[in-house]
Amino acid sequence: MRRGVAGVAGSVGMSLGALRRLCAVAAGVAALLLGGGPRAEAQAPRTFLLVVTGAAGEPRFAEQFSASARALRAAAALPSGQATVLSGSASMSDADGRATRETLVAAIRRLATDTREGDNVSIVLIGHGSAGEGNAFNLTGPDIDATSFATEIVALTGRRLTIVVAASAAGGWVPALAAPGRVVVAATRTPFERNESVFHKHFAQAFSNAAGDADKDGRVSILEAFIHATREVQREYESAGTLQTEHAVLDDNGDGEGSTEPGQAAPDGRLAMSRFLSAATVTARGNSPAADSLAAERGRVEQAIEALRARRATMDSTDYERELEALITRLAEIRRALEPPGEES
Amino acid sequence: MRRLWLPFALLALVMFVSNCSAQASGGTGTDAVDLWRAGDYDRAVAIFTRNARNEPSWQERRAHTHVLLELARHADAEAVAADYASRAPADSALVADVAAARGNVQLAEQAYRAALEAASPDSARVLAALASVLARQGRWDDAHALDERAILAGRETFDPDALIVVAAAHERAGRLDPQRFRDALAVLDRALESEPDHPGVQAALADLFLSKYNAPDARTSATAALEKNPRHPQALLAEARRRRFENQPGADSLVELVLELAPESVRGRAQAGLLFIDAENAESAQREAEAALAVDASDSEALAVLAASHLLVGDAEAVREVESRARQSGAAAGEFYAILAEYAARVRRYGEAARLALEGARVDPRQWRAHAVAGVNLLRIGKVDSARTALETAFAGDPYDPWTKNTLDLLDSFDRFEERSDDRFVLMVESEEADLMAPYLLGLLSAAFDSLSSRYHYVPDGPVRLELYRRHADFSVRTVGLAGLGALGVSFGDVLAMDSPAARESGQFNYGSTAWHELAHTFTLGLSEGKVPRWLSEGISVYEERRARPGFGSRPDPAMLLAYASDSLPPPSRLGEAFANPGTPARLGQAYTLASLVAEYIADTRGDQALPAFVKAFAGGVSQDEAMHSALQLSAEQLDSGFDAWMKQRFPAVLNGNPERSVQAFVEATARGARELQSGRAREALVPLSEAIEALPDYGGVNAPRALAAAAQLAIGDTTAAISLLEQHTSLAETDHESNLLLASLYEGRGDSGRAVAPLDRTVWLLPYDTEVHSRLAAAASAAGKHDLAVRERRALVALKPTDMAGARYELALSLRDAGQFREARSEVLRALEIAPNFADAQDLLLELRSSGSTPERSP
Repeated sequence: MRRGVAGVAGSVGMSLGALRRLCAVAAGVAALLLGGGPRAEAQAPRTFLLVVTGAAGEPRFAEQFSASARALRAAAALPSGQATVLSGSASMSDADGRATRETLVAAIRRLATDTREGDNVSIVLIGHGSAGEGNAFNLTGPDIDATSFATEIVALTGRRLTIVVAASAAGGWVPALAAPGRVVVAATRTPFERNESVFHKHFAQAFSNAAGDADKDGRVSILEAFIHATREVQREYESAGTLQTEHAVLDDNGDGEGSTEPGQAAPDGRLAMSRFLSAATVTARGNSPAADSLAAERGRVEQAIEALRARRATMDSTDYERELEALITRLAEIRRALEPPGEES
Repeated sequence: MRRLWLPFALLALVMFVSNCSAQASGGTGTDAVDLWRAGDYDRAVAIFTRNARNEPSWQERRAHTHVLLELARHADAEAVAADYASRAPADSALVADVAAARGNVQLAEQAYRAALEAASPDSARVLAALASVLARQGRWDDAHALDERAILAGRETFDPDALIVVAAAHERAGRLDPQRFRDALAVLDRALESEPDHPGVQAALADLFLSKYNAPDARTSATAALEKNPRHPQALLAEARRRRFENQPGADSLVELVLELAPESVRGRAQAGLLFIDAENAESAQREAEAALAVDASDSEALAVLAASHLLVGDAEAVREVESRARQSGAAAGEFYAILAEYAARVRRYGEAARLALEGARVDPRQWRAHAVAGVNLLRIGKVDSARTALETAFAGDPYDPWTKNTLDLLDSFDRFEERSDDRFVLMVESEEADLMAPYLLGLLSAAFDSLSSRYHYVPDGPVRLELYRRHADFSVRTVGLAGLGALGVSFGDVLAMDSPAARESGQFNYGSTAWHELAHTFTLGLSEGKVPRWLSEGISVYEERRARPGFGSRPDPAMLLAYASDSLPPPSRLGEAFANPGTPARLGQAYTLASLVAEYIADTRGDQALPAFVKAFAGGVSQDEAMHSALQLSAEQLDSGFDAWMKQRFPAVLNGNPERSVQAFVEATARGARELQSGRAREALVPLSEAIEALPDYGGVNAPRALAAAAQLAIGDTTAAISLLEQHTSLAETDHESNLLLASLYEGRGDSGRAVAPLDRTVWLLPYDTEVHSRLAAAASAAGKHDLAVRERRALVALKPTDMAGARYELALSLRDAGQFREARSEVLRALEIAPNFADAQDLLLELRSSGSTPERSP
């Protein structure tokens, strides 16, 4: 039976931003209970990204894989050393190294040493997969299969781990990699969707395209990128007039059953709302009692909006809009008040 | 031993004498039957006639009478039957057969009963034939009882001629139990086992298959019959009906063959009349119907043709008289009404068709076809609930009917649709695309309504309903009950149906011009009370498309002009023939374009009011010649010659001189230009392309010389010239979205968003699902200050359910604000913020709108 994290996420219809903040609060509470509170305050979570492009087979695939890898690295905008791209193609001169099974495993082990518990770690595999024994991701030289990969990432336990397998036949990786607290994205629903996949292209574009930021909070979550990519994949196949041969899935409740339509009300999607390739940016004016008060009020307003939306079906539409407008107006006023000087519109 | 020997000796003597006599006259009865089966009617009749004096067997006597009936030589058959009956009382069955063929049901009944009392050796056939006569009088209970006796009596017989009639008994029983049709089939199969080449059995099979809508098997059987006897009237008529059923050419020539062989054939005359109804030739249809009725005054099909001929010219009183005559013939009136209703629908009198079919169902509740025709036509006039009831009744009685089944399936899918309406239109569209399509179609229909109502001085009684189908098969079923219709749209008067762009290849279908076309039919049908000839209604619709907007409507191409010049297309006064029997789909398309040019000619030479006057003239139930004379003061000859002169002025380069050579020159010049362009010699390409443009200035189809010349000008670097050419080309090209997008890009490249609006607007009628086109048009419209247009485009983008819904709604809110629709803008920006409460730009817009004092619209 699938279970979500409803105890924390609360009502259906909550905005991505509000849910994300609630998740952050919950994580803080959990850290305090574990006795790690002061340390967590002292060491804010950092964000790491490892992108690996596999054996391309053809130059056009090498170009496509490299373009997606570059787009992801650029979108993450992480400090030097926190973003690594390993390329399966020698033509990608700006890669940090060649992608082989050996270098991939080494990169994971390096992540294990460079990161600490609570850090955000995203690993994106782009390329071709095969549905044979072990569901392999094709690399130059020996491939790596899902089970071996799962074994390697045990070293990353405790990190907020997101793994994207943007490859054909990737569906077989989901059961192997799924775990509580982990987001797993696969470009195909089953290992039997073996045709070349275009998911990686749209997934990468989501982070640089304003359209990817569905909730307009200035950051594209893994869930937003996933939803954007799946719709664009569908559109691409429809435009070409061909049968869609890939259906991406996302699992973040750890049950190993990916959802094709994750979201707030779906079994999967709530954790992916709060996962990003990029690090969070600070937009508040700084620490001051007034700012703290406004920030707290903002949280309350957001929760009130969520509660209102949950009641929408039972309300008169005029009343609903009046209340919604009042809350959003207040939210807008708070935002303006919290914006750094010169950024107010 | 002696007693045994004597009968054999007598038999041998009789056979010897008989054989000597037959040989002396040139053949035996068996020979005659063989000749009859093979279609050598003259020799068969000659032998039967000579042998008639020599006491032929009862089978030979029956064959003699029936070969004459097959040739519709009723008087000869009557004389022969009377002669035989005078000698053998059981042969009164033959007298009855002749009487039945002439519609004298009282005499037929009396004579069949006399035959049965005389212990006819042909009892199974006679019982079933008697049942047929009773059924024709509406005495169905008695008929069914006799049919069961006939079927019982026929179990032991292998006589194919009897089995044909016994099969008909099973077919009648099919009114009570549709599965009995299988029994009819089994009986005919048994007849074929008995005599595999019997053309009559094959023809009966063809009729049976066709009555159950199985055209392929009907064709096989008719072909088998005609292989044995190429002149078999029933088989020829079955094949003619099959061809009409499948909209294949050649039905008319088959009927002609029948009437050459059997001029008094009631079925042949009725079928000929039916084909004239199809061609909207009321006079000839009436002539054929009356010829049939002169033989059999109560034949339901001939009566239906007669009534249809009156219906065609709007003579309601005459229709009622024929109805009254048909009702006097009892339950066959149900069949009469069913047939007449189908004819009425065929000539686009859908309301009348529904009324007639319902009347048929009322007088004969087991006339399942009447229920089905009623259902389909009730649906065509928008009465969905009544249609469903009639169709469900029809399906219960005749589950073989694919029209009924398909239409019921379609009705079941109506819950996928929703209705959007304004005060003049109801748009039924699948929910999936209702938000996208409704604004475009309701806006366009409204403009079309204003334009047409002001010029045609006609306003439809109630709201016009347009149904839009995302699957072409659904549209096809909605229109004709079956999949496979080639049309894009249809008008039933105040109910229109058409393909959604989703049903067609992207970019190849202009749904705007199609909707305009169908609505124009609403006006021409309404103004003429449904009596406008099809060719004129179609011609006006295409002409009105072209008048509506640049880029709408088809235009003449070289093949069409050549067909006109070579008389492959009839002149205007006979253009109906090209619609009734186009021969090929391409020729039908040419007929549409030619008809539109006739409409253009009339408007051009007789003034804007000439077309409405011409159409309205038909409302009075007059013939085409009379309408032409009263409204246009033209005879048929004057119309044809005047149009021809106008065409030569309109297309001088092609139609003056040698048209074939001119078209060839056009094609060659275009091809030469294309080759030069492909070879990178753009300047050299312009010369032949200019010649081609001059030769056929109206051409905007595939490989249009203007589009090629524009490409050449771009290659040379003359954007201004390219733009000019593309402007002209896109005003003629109905489906060339690529040229429109190119033209828009050229304007956008010059920073002239205002001029990019028109080509982008043309493109959305071809590519409504393309978000990029909508985005570009919205941006261009905003930049040009056309804020209402920008709002429409932003709404389309929202309807296309983008990933970034908050962004799309925000953009819509901006356009609404710019259009001065502040309340709507405030509602829309709230919807964006409902999705993304922290969307800073949207928050700012909300604050701005609040400060302007607008209040939000109530959300749906």
